[in-house]
Amino acid sequence: MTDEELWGQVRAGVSEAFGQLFERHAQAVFAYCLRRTGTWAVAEDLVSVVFMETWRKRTSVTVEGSLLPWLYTVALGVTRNHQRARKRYKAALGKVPPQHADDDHADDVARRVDAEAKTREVIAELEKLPAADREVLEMSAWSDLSQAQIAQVLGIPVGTVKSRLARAQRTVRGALVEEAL
Amino acid sequence: MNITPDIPQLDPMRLQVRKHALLNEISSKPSRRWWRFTVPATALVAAVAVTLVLWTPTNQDASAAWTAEPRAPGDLTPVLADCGRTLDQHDAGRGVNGPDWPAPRDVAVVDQRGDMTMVQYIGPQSEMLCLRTPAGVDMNGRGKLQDQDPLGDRLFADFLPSVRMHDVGGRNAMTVLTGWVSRAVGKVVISTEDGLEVTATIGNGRVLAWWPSLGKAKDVRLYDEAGVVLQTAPIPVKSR
Repeated sequence: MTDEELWGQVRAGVSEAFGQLFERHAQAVFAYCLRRTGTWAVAEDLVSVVFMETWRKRTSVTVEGSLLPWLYTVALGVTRNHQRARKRYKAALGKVPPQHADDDHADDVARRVDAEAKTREVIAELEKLPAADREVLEMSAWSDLSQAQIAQVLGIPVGTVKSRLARAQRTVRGALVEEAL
Repeated sequence: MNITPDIPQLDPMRLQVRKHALLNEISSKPSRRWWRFTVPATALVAAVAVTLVLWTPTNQDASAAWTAEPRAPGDLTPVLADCGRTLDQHDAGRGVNGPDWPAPRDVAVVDQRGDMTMVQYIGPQSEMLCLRTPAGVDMNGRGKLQDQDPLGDRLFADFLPSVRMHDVGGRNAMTVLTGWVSRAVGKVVISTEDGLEVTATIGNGRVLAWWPSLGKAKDVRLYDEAGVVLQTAPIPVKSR
């Protein structure tokens, strides 16, 4: 089933359909949240928060094609102030059973630590940009969204997306931008 | 610098845990601002392990045949065959970020109620529960068995029985209790907050019970083989 079809069921209150959408998009949302926050555990929690927020607003959201643009919209919001977002959903997050034993495996731990270290380096670099420009650049680099979709996610005109992206490129000119774009 | 570093895949089992918790949350109180009614997270953190929750997403009346007393064991051949195939699929789907160990294959205890059978598999690192109903087979599991306190001289030890969950469709709620029980105990009865009296299945020093509701386990009564009450204790059993 397409996202659009599943979303139709979600709007009717079918949580099973929402579970399918979660399985389909959780990894993409997680990757975005991890790149925005630099902390694995926080990113995992934010995936839950994003989907709980998405469910809460299901009746007021229409999906055309993929649900991902809307998920990125929500993810952008919760990662802007993830401490507040997590606090808001503290009770729900507290019910998530603790991590499994595979946490303890050295390879997994190493992969996570490595990913956290790399994302934090990137965050440090991108923080040199104005927030508005940074969010455009991040969305462009970390999602498969078109500029029109990024405009939709950020709630700005497409022209503004282009101008902010160009400005971000100029600001962080060099290897950083060349590799990213 | 590459601003798009690779992000490892989330552990598939962890993803399922998150999904079930999410679906439980959105199904349980859809019309209330539930996050204001904070559940003390300490109740979950303090527990050693995880209660396992199973569901039957395609069976809208999965609990109709449920009984508070487990029935006499029937032919397990088809059950173990179905569960075995599901375990094989689980192993095949572990992927590079999944657990390094295969799913356990040693049957610890089998609980049969009506036309539903729950099988608890135990391995060195993990535990899997397989629920087989006429609608199909579903599976859930957890690791960190090494963190479980040994039973010692206690009569009973439960593993976080208070987690309440809904099934994927939000229709069939289930709560599962697992734990250890002394050889001196012949019968275990769980009282739930919603008034159920559930007789657990005992096997190989382990205890397994489930009920089709969100009612938390409240008390446990332990009997010897002669039916004499050995102990009544609130759950979780605190006397470590």
